[in-house]
Amino acid sequence: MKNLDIIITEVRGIETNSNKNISRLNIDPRAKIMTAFLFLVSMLTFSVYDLIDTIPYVIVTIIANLLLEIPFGYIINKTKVLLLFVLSIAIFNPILDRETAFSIYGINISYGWLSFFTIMLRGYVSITVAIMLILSTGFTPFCKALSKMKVPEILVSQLMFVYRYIIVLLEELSSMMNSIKSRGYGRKRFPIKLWSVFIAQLLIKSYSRAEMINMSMISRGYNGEIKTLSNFKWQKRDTLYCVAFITLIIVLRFIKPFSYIDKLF
Amino acid sequence: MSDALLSAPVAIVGEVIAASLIVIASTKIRKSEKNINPALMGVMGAFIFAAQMINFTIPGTGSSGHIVGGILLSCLLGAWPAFLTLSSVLIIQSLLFADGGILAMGWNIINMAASSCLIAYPLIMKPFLEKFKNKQELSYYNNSDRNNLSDSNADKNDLNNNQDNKEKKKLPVWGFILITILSCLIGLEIGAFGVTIETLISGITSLPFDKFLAFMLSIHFFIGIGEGLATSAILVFILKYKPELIINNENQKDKKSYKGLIWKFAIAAILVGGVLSWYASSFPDGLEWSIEKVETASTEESPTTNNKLHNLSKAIQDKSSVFPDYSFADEIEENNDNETQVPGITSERTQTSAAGISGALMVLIATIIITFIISRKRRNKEKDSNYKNEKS
Repeated sequence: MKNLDIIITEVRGIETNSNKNISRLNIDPRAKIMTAFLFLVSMLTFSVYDLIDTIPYVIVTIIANLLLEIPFGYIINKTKVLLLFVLSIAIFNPILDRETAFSIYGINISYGWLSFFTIMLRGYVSITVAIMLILSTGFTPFCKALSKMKVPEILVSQLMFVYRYIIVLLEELSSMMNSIKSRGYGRKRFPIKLWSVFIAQLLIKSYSRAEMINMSMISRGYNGEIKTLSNFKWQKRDTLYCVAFITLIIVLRFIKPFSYIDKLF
Repeated sequence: MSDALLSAPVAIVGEVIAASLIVIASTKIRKSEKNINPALMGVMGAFIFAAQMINFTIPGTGSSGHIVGGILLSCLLGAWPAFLTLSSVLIIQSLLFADGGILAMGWNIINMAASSCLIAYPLIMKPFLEKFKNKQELSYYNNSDRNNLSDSNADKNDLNNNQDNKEKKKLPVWGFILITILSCLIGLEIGAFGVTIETLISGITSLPFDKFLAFMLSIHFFIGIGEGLATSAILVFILKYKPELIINNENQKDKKSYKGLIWKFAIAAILVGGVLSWYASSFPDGLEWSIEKVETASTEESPTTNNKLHNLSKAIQDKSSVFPDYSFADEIEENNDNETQVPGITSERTQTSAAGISGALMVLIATIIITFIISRKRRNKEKDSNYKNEKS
């Protein structure tokens, strides 16, 4: 069972953290979304055996991570679940693919191990980029940017609604859990029968809450579009940022700085 | 699904498909006559998120799991709104909780949201719900029964009557539970199948396709049953206390023509037939593989056995099948006869994809014919019933 209070503070922490970081990297969210997307796509165009060319991407990610001052513990804590899933699939590569790729100091390294490490590094980079994107932007500006990028308004309002009500419903759930704990004689497990009654109660509560919210929204003149205070314009520094980042991506993808490393020795 | 397990083209294809599905969903919701309120969708999304935090113990195993909630949302909101809500939950999970990644988001939406909301629900759950909605059997606990639940001092006679009612209508509930489990199972299995295919096409894992598929499908079989039990438990509870939440959903029947949809499916089928048949030809499917194994075993043990029935069936199959193993029969023989004329890999690929495409087309045509016949029969039936009604 996940600790609900920790999750609630985590979700709240995202907003405070992002507020702190926005002042540090005040760039249009659209620019960030585009560059993050290109960065990841360019990384995935390498084959799984190009371990050497994937390493620069990890380095860039770590540098960006340090610049944004997001603690490593936080990122590792977030990535561990997904990395375990990736690991469970990637672990078969070294077992099944034993053809030797090269040998260093007499140790043979197979293609399987190469692809294994590439996949794990890819997993780390992709998750970290997603976390950094949202922590350096904040969720509401992110949604605003999406709606400016012609994402359907319904989806954007959905994202904002879900994000807003996650905390409300989690608090509701937390109080329900507290009451069941205080009356449950140390019960730790939920058999399906009890679980369904518990969750269905929450569902009926949420449903009536949603109806009330809808009423109040209509009475305040809601017409299908959520208006926010945060507004942004594309500025010169955003163009500069984009140009700089795209050149970095081109260097990483086509010049491949690490492919010359063996010529140094 | 994670970014790490995809190659760039596969990831982008997934993003494009998911984006177009989302656009279709939003236009459908905007144009729908029934006013779906966005607050309800949003709060239900948050509810699914909260419900995933509480794990239930799966009976008999001792392990625990949480729901995905596709079928549950579809029952409450309808297929397209549920799809949109679930995809927004998935997007938030991938961004805030590092569940997936930016590029894998597309396939995650397809595997988790589209498979259960757009395939399993409309095909299995919705016809069932509509059938019982028309007969008003689904609201098996009627209002007086609900009053009794709150009022402990009910008359004994009333209770007996209600028990009779319950006994009469017990069957739909069990059917309802079974159908829910079935649709959850199918939704999850399609998702698991999708994950396998995507990883395979990306060329990430060196696991053999059949073993990987068997592994994923068997794991998701149990997960699907758990999900189905949990979903049906919630739905039965809601049917008991607030049946209108499920029954009022999707009041109008879609009377639109399905021409557009048929075209989309045709294109998808041709794509699948053309592209996936490259892979299909190189990996024998499970049945073929096991048969091959059996055959080799039997020939090793007794090489002189002359199985007449087997030979006969093989001869029939060779003659009757237009594409033995997805390549034109005559061309294979020609290739075998004079090896100098083997045109190389590319032409083999074109052959297999041609066979794949034409196979897909044949299946498509057969499906269209069958649906045409069924719809015609149904129309005739409706006409008959209308005529009878008018008469009476």
